[in-house]
Formats: sequence, structure tokens, C-alpha cells
Amino acid sequence: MSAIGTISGTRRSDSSLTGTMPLLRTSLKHDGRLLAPWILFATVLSASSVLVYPWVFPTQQDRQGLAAAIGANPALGLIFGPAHDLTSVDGFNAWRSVALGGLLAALGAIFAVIRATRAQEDSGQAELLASGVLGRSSRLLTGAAMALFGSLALGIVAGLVTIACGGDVQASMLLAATFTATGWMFAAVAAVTAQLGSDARTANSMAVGTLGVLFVLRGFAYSIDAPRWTTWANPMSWMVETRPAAGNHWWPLLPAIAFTIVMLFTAFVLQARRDFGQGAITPSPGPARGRDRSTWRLALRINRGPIITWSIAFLMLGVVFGYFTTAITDILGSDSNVQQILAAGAVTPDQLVAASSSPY
Amino acid sequence: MSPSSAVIEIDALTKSYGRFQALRGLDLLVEQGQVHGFLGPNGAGKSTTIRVLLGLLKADSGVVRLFGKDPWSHVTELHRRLAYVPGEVSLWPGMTGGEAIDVLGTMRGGLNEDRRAELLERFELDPTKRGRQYSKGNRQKVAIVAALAADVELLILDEPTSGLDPLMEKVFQEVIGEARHRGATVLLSSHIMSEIETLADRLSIIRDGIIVRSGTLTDLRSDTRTTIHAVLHHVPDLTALETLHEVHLNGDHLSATIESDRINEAMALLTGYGLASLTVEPPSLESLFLRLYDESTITPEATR
Repeated sequence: MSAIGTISGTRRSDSSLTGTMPLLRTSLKHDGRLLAPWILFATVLSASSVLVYPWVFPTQQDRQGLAAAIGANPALGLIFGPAHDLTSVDGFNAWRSVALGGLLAALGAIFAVIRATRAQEDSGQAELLASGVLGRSSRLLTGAAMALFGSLALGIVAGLVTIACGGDVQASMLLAATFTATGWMFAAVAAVTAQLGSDARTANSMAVGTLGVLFVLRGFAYSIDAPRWTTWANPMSWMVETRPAAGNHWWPLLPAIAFTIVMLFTAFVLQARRDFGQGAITPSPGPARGRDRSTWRLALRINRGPIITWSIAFLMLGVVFGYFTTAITDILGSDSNVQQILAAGAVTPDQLVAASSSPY
Repeated sequence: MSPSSAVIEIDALTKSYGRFQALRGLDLLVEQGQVHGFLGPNGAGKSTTIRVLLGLLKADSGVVRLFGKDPWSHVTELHRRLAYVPGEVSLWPGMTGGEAIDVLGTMRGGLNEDRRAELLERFELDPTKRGRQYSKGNRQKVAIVAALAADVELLILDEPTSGLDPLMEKVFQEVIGEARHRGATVLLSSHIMSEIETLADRLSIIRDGIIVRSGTLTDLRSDTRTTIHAVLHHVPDLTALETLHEVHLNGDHLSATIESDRINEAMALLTGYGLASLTVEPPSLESLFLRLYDESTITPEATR
């Protein structure tokens, strides 16, 4: 026993980050695979537009028709953001993927961070791990590192696969870099919300909610031609301002990195100040008595949350698709390729969807 | 009681979560080589105390010393010398029990390989199953094996056997006995009275964030009265039974309590009335526990 005492005495490299490496290795081995779907989705998103575009819009005339139709549709701008250049493969890919690819990377990063931090405190795994030789900030660093590595891997894979499918090197890598940067920023946001929410669900909802609001605000600002400062007030807009294939600006990635560093720093400060297992926001107590006496009331009570959130989500989808349906006639009218497909006998809905939905 | 032999020293510890006061001036002393039982109902502050000892929570006020050092500012250094088993063990769902034991071992600075193998066998734990396949009891065994296979000076166990069956509970008691022989100090928080009665050298009973009684089992027993049930040939006059407490006479049936060190006097007294039958119950830890809780419910300040 005393021998161990002396070993620990001589090996005093104590810091709040001690033990991060073994924990990170184990976490990557056992939770790393959960990042794979996000990497796959973002890669398919970016590579598919490069593959499909020349086939669906072969002529310059088709491409200009597409640009005109999209320019006239504010609902598409709400989701995808502004189209800087739709007459090249890479410009089209940038328009189609910059928002959604970033969204995917951000969601993957948020879930990775919360899973490795807040969720472990809920389950009790954190307590068991923290009883080992583990510094106080090691678990947060591990979670953040997983998400940062994951986002980086997502960017590299998506970029390389897109180039392999025929994308321009600089434009594809810049686009992929915006995915990584978005993942990083929201990994840092999640690291903060993990300190604020007092359980994993709250922390996840807060981070995803922030992502959703910024995503919609970004699209909204572009659709209504909001003043210029709104672009720089929203981290999601910085990514659009990189304009892959339409200028290739790398510098808007710098504020994203700065944002990540500031938010991560905030997270570590907050973490050092809060109690283990507690959050800054204490949940308000619920009713002490149940009033639901029938199965119907019970079913309604249990599903109240999902009913409300899904109703709002479908309402918003309805608004967006409402815009979209008025515009599809424009796209069909100006797009000779789709007309050709229809003329060539696309009579089943599947054929029509396969032909007309691929660019979106 | 020299301070140098104290492994755990807590003095007037307080801790609040917002407005809720979890610990209200808790004192605890655990000396080296002791198995110290830590008893109390849910929500009394056992886990909060343990989390403060593990350096997970920062004390609001009071002095906390683990091996003479502050557990908040010497986290990693102190954790090399202790192992912990929580009541609710959670593992990576895809990780096997064997892997989990080794991960926990690595994070503690190494395991004793022979003891690891021996413990796996004695606890009949299959180390090739994955976290999601284990029952609560088996997950707990994983943490117990990982903790006991480490050569540590202090074991902190928070209701470690809540999911174990009686056979495994027995193995656990043996294993803790062996750890004590190796010279390890044990802080054992438990709900199971028989476990504490078998294992603990000393025990502390916590209620509402303070220690209401602390001492050896014998100390605590001597504070408590033995219960006597007797059937008597001659019904005595109540005034003659002043030595006894809580006297109830129902015909020739008498029940009463007496301080545990005055049983002789009670026997001498009762023999005079002719004993037809007699039962004497020494105070069990359970009755002691319930009694302490009853008392404190009525007068919470009286026990301080």
C-alpha cells in the first residue's frame, strides 16, 4: 500500500485534464461509430449534387432556367440560402449543400457532446468514471474532442468524395470546410448548454433549438433582403458568405473558429462553477396531483409534448411546401429536361419524382 | 485517535443545492483499517457526502480531509489511492464487462491481475457479455470487481449490494473482510442492516444532513434498551416496577424495556413474581435505527 502512496507522490502531474487520453480512446472506440451516419449523410448530400447536376441540367439554358426559378422562390431561399452561382456544378453543389450539410454536421456534433457529458451524468456513468484518476474537466474535453474530430472527419470525407465524384478541388474543400466549421461551432454551443440544462434532454433541446433558430433566421434574412449586419450577427450566415465556387472566400471560417474557441472557453468556465449532476437552470416542479382519470386523457398527457412540437414543425413545413408547389410549374415550364422526361413517358409518380426531385 | 491515522475527516460540512440544504454540519471520522458503516434513509445526504469526498462536489463550508488533503483540490492525486462503487452502475452499452473492468482499472492506475481473475470467478461474472446485456446486479459486480482488484487504500462503496442476490451478498461480505485484512479502509453506505452488523467496526447514522449517532455497534446498542416480554404468576403492582420503562401490563402478560446494562436487575425483580415464560430481545440495529429516526422526528434538535 505504502508503495502505491509513494508512486502517486512522485507521479504528480495533476491537472484538471489528467486522464483525458485514455478516456478519449475508450469513448472513440465505443461511441465513435455513432458519428458515422452524419458523416455519411453529409458526404452523400455533397457528392450526389456533383453527380446528378450535369445529368439533369446538361445545357447552359437549363441551368439559367433553374437559376431563374430558384431566384423567384423565397421558400427555397429560406432553406437553402441565396444561390450565388447555379450555372456550374460546384456553384449548384454549394447552394444545395452549404446549409443542409452544416445542419447535419452540427446535429452530429451536438449529440456527440451531450452524449459524452450531460447524458453520462444522468446515467451515473460519469460518477463511476470520475472516481478514477480523472481531472475535473477531462470528461468535457473528451466530449468536445470527439465532436471536433468527428466534424473534421466529416469535412475531410465529404470533401474528398466530392472531388472524387468530379467536384472542383478548392470549391469542394471550402464547402466541406464549412461543414466542419458548423460542426465545431455547435459542438461548442452544446458544450455550453450541457452546463446549463440539468439533464441531457434539456441540454440537447437547447442546443438543437439554437441551431434551428439560427438556421431559420439565416434563411429568413436572405429571403427578405435584410440589412447587411444581420449576416454577420448570425454564425450560420458566415458559412454562406464563404461562397464556394463563386468567389471562394476562406476568411469567414476565421470568425467561426473564434466563435468555437470563445464558446468552449465559456463551457469550461461554467463547468468549473457548477455542481456535479446539476445544471444552471433548475427544472420547475410539476403538479403534485394527477388529474387524468381516463385512458384518453392519459394518452393526451403522455403525448402532449410531441403533439405540440410536431404540430409546429408540420405547420412550418406546410408554409414552405405551400411556396414550393406554386413554384414547381415555373421550374417545369422553363426546364426542358424535365419536360423531355415527361414527354419520354414518365407516367408513374416514382419516375416523375426521380426526375424532378433530384436537384432539391 | 491521532489525526494521522484518520483516512476520512469531515468537520461541520455543509452543502446546499440552491435553496435545498443537503448537508447541515456533518461530522465524520473514519480511521485507517476501519470498515465504517454509513447508514441513513434515502435523501439523508449519504450520496452527497460521498460526492464531496470524491471531489465531485465542492463543500459550502466545513473541513473535509481525505488522507489529510482536500479532496476538491487534489482530485487526481487522491483518486490514485481510492476506488469507488456506486449504487447505480452504468456502462457503455457496447462494452463488455471485462473491458469495462480494465478501463476502470487503467483510469485508476492498474489492477492486480490475480485478484481480478479470482474475483471474476467468485462473483460468477461472465466478462465477455456487453453492458446492455447485464442485469443491474451484474453491472454492479463489474464495478465491485474493478474496485476490489485495484490495490487501493480506501474503498468508498455507495449501496454496493442493492442489486445482488443473497449468495453474492455473502461473497461480497467475504471479499470486504479480505480487503480489510490487507489493510484497506472501507466506507460502506448501506440500507442492509445485516450487512452493516456483519462488516462494520464503527458506524455513523445520518439524518437530514447531520450525523445523529456515531460509534461502535456495542456503543450504540448500550444506548438502546432491551425489550422484555414475560408471563408472570403473580401480577405485580405497577409502582414496584419502576426500574423498567414503557411497562405494559395486560392481565399476567408484561412487556417492558430496560437499559441493556441493567438486565440483571430486571431479572432479579421479575423472578420475584414467578416467571411462567420469558423473552429477552437484544436491540437489533434495525430497532436502533428506527428508534433514532422516531426520536429525531419528534425532536430534531435533541440529538445534536
